[in-house]
Amino acid sequence: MPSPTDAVAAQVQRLIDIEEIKALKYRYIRLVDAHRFEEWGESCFTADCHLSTNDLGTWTGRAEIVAAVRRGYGSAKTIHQVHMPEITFTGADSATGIWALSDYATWIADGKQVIDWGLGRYEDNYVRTGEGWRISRTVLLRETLPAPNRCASTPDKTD
Amino acid sequence: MATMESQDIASQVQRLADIEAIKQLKAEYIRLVDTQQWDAWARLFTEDCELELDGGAVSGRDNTVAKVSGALAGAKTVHRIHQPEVTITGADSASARWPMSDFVRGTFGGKRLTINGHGYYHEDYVRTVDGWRVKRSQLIRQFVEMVPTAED
Repeated sequence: MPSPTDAVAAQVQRLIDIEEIKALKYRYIRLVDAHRFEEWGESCFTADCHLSTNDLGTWTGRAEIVAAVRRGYGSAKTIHQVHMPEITFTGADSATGIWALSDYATWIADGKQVIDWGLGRYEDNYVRTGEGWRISRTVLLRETLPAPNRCASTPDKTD
Repeated sequence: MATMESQDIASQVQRLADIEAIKQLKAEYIRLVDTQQWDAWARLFTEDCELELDGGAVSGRDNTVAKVSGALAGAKTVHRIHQPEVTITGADSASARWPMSDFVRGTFGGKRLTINGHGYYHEDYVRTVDGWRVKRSQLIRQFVEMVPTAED
């Protein structure tokens, strides 16, 4: 029969797991915005991870995900911020997470600076591996914030 | 028998678990407003909850849901909350202060508007048999910008 100490230990383990999953997601965001794509792939995903987005595409496997994100973001500046995590355990070594996203991206297209403010929600699956928690599946539902608020294609840069 | 020390540890762990549960309750609150899932949102409140939004007050779960769902019918909202200050005030009660930012697009008083707001939620929570629930929620915005907006 489990002792009170076992129950406390299990609760502590769960709180640690929640913090580790939050730290995983923060690392994911930080490494993407820093363009450290190889490290991002290695330290955040399982080898067979599945990533899908409503507007950009769907990729399977760490190598394919890293290549696609490098292509898409390599020449852009991005700032992603995630908020309001809802972490739910689905087993001893598996969990789901829902995160709200606010993001900003800017890049040059046809000589002009494009600015894109976006909003969205991540729906993630996590698994505990020998190296710690990793993302096994992530779905991003994102949209550009509608004009006139914060979406603009500006004239040529003047600075 | 548990020693005094292990009881202290157990209550400290419980406090951390409660703080995390309250953060997740508020995250769910925001997500269900922004996706307008009103039946699910209603379940996050106590039956006798009180809601105050920029000075307009309403009491009771049914009135709260009717007021907010009516005000936001046809509107698009995006809320973000940050930096929670959660205080456990009793074995089964807690309060929190949450800074918030919101973006609202809709027709209000016949005018099509985009609203950008920044303020604070001040909330009280109670532990029920179904988990933590919102007992009182007060939102005070310090900054509101209303931008006339063309139809989408």
